[in-house]
Amino acid sequence: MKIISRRYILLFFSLLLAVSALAFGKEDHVADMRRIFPFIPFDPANKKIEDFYYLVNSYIDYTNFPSISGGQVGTPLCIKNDPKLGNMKFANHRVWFHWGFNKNPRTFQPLVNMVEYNIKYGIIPEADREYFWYVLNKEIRKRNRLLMDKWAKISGYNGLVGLMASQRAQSNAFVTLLYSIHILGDHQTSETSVIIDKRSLYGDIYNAIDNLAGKFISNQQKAKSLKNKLRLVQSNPKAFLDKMEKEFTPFLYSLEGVGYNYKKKFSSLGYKLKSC
Amino acid sequence: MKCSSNIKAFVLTLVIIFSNASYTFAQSDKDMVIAQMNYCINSLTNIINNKSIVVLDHETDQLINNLTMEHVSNLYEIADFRGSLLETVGNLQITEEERNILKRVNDMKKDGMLWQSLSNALDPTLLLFSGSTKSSKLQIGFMLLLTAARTSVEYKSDQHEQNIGELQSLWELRKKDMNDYIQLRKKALDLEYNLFHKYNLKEQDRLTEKNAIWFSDICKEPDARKRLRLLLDNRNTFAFLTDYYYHVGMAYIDLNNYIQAKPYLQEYISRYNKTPIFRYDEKSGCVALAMLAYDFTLNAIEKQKLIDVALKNLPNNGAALLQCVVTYLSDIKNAPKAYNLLRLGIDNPNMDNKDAMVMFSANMLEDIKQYKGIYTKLSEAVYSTPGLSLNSIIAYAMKDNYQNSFWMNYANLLNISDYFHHPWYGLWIWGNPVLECEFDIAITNKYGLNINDIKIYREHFDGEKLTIKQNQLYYKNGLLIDDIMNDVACFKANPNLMYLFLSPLIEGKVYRIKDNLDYGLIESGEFRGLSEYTLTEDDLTDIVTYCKDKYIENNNITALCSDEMDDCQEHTDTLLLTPPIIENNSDDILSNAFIKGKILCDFKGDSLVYTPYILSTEPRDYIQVVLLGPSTTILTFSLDSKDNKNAYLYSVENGGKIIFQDLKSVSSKIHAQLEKLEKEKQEASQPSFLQKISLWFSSVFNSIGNWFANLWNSISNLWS
Repeated sequence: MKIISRRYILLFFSLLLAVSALAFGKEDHVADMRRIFPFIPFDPANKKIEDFYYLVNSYIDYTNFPSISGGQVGTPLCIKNDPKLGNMKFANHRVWFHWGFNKNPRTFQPLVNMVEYNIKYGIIPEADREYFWYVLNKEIRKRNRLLMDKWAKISGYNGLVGLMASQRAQSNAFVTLLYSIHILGDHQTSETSVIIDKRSLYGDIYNAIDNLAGKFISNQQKAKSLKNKLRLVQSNPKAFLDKMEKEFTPFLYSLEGVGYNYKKKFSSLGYKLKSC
Repeated sequence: MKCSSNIKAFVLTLVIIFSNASYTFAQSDKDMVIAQMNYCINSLTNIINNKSIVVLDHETDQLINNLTMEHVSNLYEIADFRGSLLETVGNLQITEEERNILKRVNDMKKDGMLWQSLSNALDPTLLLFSGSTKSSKLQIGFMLLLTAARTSVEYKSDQHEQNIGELQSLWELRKKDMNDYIQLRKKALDLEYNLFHKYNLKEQDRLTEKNAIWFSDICKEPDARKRLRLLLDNRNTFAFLTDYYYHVGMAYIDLNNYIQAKPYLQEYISRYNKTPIFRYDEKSGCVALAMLAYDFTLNAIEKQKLIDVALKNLPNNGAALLQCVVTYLSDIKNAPKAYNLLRLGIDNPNMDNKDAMVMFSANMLEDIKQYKGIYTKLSEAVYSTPGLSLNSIIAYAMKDNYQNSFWMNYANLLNISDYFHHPWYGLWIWGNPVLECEFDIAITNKYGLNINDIKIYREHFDGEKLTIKQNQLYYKNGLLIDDIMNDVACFKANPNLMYLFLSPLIEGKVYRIKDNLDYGLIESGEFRGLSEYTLTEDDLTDIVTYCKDKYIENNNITALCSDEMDDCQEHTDTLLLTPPIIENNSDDILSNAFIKGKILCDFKGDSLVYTPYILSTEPRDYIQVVLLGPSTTILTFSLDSKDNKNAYLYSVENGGKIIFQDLKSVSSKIHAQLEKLEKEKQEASQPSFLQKISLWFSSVFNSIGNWFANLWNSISNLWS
């Protein structure tokens, strides 16, 4: 009886949080990505990029990733359909994949708490704790590989395997930025307690900017200047995204040196770029 | 009641047995976890510590393809770590192109001295007819093969590799990947720490980062005495590692002390069998090879078992397979099994050191031919193996020459042109052809070529004395390193950058522009590897202009040039001629026509690596091309009688046997020469017309002289 009542409470909170989470829909996330990234929105030449924006949303929100349409938010299918883990209860879809793109979910306290809740109330035995993390990490690796591989192909490479270290860093930087734009969108809603904190998120964004600039000193100075501008507005996620809209594309176009001239690179691949 | 108590006792016994069994399983599970985690940490440390693309390739291959999951699949922490490991290492493993470079460099840096010693040690007569005790020569062969087999399993500080710019360049491109390997190792160390706490394991069985680095450093120490000293000094720190016993045992083997090595090697095998973490274990294979080489107390069954262990655990190691073949031949005396194993090795697409196997087959071909079925399959395997070296395919084809196949298919792999010229004395008067010091050699590039394994000599015989001058060999269109550095500024600033566009013909000296460079990708900066260098757009333009300008199409031919050797000694000495045996020859006169014994020889060069033959006393000029390897081949080129300009392959010699392109013509020439000599002899015994006239005149003068003498005598008598 006690367990049943707890389950109802959990369900109520789940619904409440789900409703509040929907306050920032997938089109809003994609609109942010469109305004910040240098590609002309809705241009047929940029279809792969547009699809990728939706794929990033799917990565973060959908149970049936890599589907980009008709996806449902909630517990990933790998957990939901697992005979040992299918009964586990989780409060909010944002507890999944909102821990930061390059982060270890086991250090993401909201999810750790929920797993421990399920163990504490006997929904899964303690012996299955490691099994849960094993299944989840497998899913994360699968999702990361798919996403990174897709962006590597968009960037003109054969895929993720065989990329040089700096090319991997660049690919990771673009994906991290798109991921972070989505999460910053979520930070503009009322429910932010089960997503990565802004401080860690900004850290990821600044690292991504450094990786895009690479080892050229002139590029590093430009990256430093952009980061300084962003730091001034980082208390407000919306202002941060607005600043990114204004500054990110000019920053990207200003980078130079072999392998870092993104304007030339994406133009040569046939994408239509914004003028600035 | 009694019965039920018996049943109870039986059930109790069963419970005890099963509980013990489950305990045993759990214990071995834990041991496996420790062994796997320690291996992963050691392997990642080797990658990080050795700074070598060769080590990176070998370790990643072991991690991805060899580490077994059988005993740890129900330990989700380990399974999770394995997932990360496979994901990261899979993304970072070397590409096919890099692997091809590694293979080519390995072929190039093969230790010529080692194969030469092996060739001496693995003499067919010695192998087939030696007694039960190993000769010292054969023992050297076993030791050399064991060393070669261990090279790919252990990492000693390899000075060769440090000097190979291409490998350094590959490593430079991989340097940044080390962050990912360092992260993986950190993850492995954290996981091991957690597991040790979870299972209450002994803390001294856990490998720390510091100790992992220390162990890796000790194991790559090239000085065996120092390595052994350090291993024994740190026994307490590393004794829990199974690999420790292997390395101590092998250090003793390096010091030629099998008695001390044996207990350590046995301990390694015993410990490894308790925690078999690989699908196959290369180190167990090496231990088996060491025992085969050094343990003289083994009987045939024990040897067979060790061969099985070696072959199972070193499935792609050519030196190991050769040692097993040699053991079958010399110790077990089972030649068909040996030759069949040799064929299996040559047919295995992943086997290394195939050239040595093919050359070994060439050396043993006389004996192999007895076993027709094996011989046919072996020949099919050899001729269909891609990537063999020119030296090995020619050696085998020459020895085989089935239905004249050598002359039909392999005699033209190497062509010499412009090596004679005819002096013109004006009007229509041309002199006899004169041997040039400098000439061109074109080699089909279907087969591998190491210019250091080819020696060229010009041989002149004037009827009495032999003059041999050694030539040097170089690539006709090769680009010299100094010129490259001067021509492209960004190559000078980034010395490893040039390896993206140039491949070495002679490491550190001569290079050529790679085939199939995508200039569009270079210009856009997207060419693989460019992103790792700090370059400007102008640098890319320089690179493209230079590569386009200097690129020479290969047309499936490697163009070489040969000219007189500089800075070499000249000396005169007597040379002992050892006549070769002519293959498939029934003409005794031809066989006995070779000049035997000592002959005066002028030699100019740095080393004479063949014994010349003299078949006729007529003056002649030859070009001798010596292809080195475990089976040395001597190609003799002579002046083409048709155009008097190009050379044609006159004879080929290998292992004391010689074949001529046109045996009939050689034979008829010898016969004609012998007839001529005979005639001259006969003519010398009968006076000629002029001699007869002079005899007549001398007899006339004699008689006149006699008349005057008689007259004088009469007068003097009167006087007296």
